[in-house]
Amino acid sequence: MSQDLPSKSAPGRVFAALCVLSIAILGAYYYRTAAARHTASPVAPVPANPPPSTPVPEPVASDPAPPGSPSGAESAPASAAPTTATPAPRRLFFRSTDVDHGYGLLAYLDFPKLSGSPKLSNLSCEVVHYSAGTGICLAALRGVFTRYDAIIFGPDFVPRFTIQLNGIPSRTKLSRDGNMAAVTVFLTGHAYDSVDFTTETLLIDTRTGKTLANLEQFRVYRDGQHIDAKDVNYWGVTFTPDAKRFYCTLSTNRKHLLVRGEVASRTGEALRENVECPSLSPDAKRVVYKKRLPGPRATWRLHVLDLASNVETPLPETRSVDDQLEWLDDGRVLYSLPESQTTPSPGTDVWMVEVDRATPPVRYLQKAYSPAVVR
Amino acid sequence: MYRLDWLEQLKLTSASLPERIQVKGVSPTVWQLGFTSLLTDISAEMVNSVLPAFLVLYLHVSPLAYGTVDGLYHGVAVAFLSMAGSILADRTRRYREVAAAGYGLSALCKLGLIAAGAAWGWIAAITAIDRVGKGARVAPRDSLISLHSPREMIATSFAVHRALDACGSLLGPVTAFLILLYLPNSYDAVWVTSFVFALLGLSILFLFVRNPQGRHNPTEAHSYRELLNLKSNVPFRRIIAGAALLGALTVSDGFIYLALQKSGGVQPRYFPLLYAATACGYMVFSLPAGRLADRFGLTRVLIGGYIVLIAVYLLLGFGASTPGVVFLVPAMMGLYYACTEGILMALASGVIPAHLRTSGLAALTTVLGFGKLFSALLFGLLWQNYQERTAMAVFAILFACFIPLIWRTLGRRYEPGPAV
Repeated sequence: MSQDLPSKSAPGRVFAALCVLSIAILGAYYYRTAAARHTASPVAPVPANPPPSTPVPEPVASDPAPPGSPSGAESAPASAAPTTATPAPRRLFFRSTDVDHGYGLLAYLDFPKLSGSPKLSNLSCEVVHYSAGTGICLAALRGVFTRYDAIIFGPDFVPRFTIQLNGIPSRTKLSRDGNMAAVTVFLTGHAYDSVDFTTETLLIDTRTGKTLANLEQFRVYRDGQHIDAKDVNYWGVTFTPDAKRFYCTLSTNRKHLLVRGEVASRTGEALRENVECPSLSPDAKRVVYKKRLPGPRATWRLHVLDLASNVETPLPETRSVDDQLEWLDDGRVLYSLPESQTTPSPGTDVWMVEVDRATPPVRYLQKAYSPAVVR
Repeated sequence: MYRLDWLEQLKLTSASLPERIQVKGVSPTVWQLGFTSLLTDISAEMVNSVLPAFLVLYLHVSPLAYGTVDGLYHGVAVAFLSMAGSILADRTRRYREVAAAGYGLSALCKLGLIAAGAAWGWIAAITAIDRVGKGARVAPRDSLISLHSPREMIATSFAVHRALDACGSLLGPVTAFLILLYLPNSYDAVWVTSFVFALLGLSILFLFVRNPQGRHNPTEAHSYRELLNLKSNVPFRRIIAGAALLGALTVSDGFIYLALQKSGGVQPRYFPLLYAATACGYMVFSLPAGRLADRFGLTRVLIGGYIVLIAVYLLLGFGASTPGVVFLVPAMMGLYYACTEGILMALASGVIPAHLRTSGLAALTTVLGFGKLFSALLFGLLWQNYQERTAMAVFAILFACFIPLIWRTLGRRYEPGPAV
């Protein structure tokens, strides 16, 4: 009975015909997509509102040119500032997300103008950071089993060390002196057919290329009590200026804690709840981070915490931002958002918002991701 | 009409081709279901293998935030729907159509991925629905395999199907890689290709697979009461009890590879390779294991498979520093799957009356699933409080103690094997 010819019934044929038809249609769609990718130009539709297509940044609204004006106070130009003031930004590194111009490459522009075509390096990166002559580039080596590397490089963009990573790159920050790097990756594959993630965060000595510590080795206390759990995930490290301490997020028991860690003693202290991806201001007085809103949907709002007074203030950005921010100076922060909130696109833009003023965020640099300000 | 000539041609070739294979006694339907699974697995695995990178590197979202769909709730929903689907399949005797609904749902999910765009909340929902589709199709499909297989070839039939299935899960990531190699960042091309593969799988099921015909005995018609009476079917009851026990003693792959990582020094970046190696082992060992089972008894091979699993636990518990453990464990896991997964279904098929086959198999899968959930909780607890090696050792010892009981429970008496 099982050898019976499939019946010549109408439904069977109709289904077959439909299959052929849909395969043809999909083939055409596929071809069109492919063609669109290859003839690069029409791919990146330029949003209507900002000025024309070139990836020229628009340091609009407030001018980033006055070097290092601690814009919150708008008081002292950098040159006249006391020695403790944050030096002026000199160069902005970022990952180019311009499909026409070095997509995925590490690129940079020089302050104060930030105009013209970005200069491209030959390093292909997913996430980048740069400080004091040392850079870190988290790269994907695509394959059937894609590999991910952290590449430590110098001002000549020549790799000094390559460290194999265990998962998909998410965040990276260097200490101010460039001697220490923190890398967060997402690990997958703990279950075969579920997309289940954990994180791994490493501290790396960029002078030797050696891993100093996995944050899971740290002893973290909350109200004097050692957090002794196995479901711990760390992410989003930001170093203090002296690189002896850092802030990061520790997730355990469905809580996201702001942790201040000490590198030498391998200890940490939980300071606050619902803080993700902290970023310490250059003057080390404040931390910006994303704070998750209650509800099942993952939506975040940017907040700033004054470390001395422990007062938390929302930033004037009403969109959900899933990024670890970068301080432009002591009063302004940069972050990435997708070009389009609805359709997936390879493009992202860097936005800027002032921490102390209720002015709306501005598109700071088009087709860029993972900004790193070099002072 | 002439346009569909190729189709007739295809039907003729497919009808004549299995004549040769038939010699081995495996029904063409099993091969067809095998290729349906192969294509569907290519479709599923090509998505699974790129989804994490798509979420993190392309959409730039933090995927940790989306564990909300998972867990017990979802498991119960899947189990409930697959039971409902199975009862429907048994009552209407339209196994193919119910399985097709499951395959179709998963195919639609691939279209959903295209439509979801960057809305990753939808992507999470779609992966959850995809698993519902997977849950719904397994029992009717296995039911078709068993109904189309002679009793003395039943393990071999399941083995053929499972080998093709494993082959698909190996080819999936390769396909996705090739697409992204030529069209970098075109994840939509991956989703579209995945949909086409799903559609091809579905079309093989729809165009070639037939429901078992005839002998529709009204006195044998499926009724709920009879389904409930299944529990008074002693052999079936024993198999269900055995499955609950087996499920509760089985440590999930994730934990095994995690333990291998902690003690054997395998970096997590090699996890995908471990899964691929396991699938490879499964594919290679499936047929020999099936043939052995048909020859020497299903229960023997089944128990043998679980003894291999115990050996894996022991290896991880006591001998994790053995050189080569990294290669040995995935190979043993492949062998364990080859000896147990399809064979258990074959064993159960032998004792469940044909008109209750699908519901019975679905019940078995559900019990096995909840057993595994319990084991995950227990193992997690041990892992939390002691070392992973201790947890492994405890499971190995527990399992070894229960083996005689399971042996007695499943027994050889109920084997469909060489019929009397």
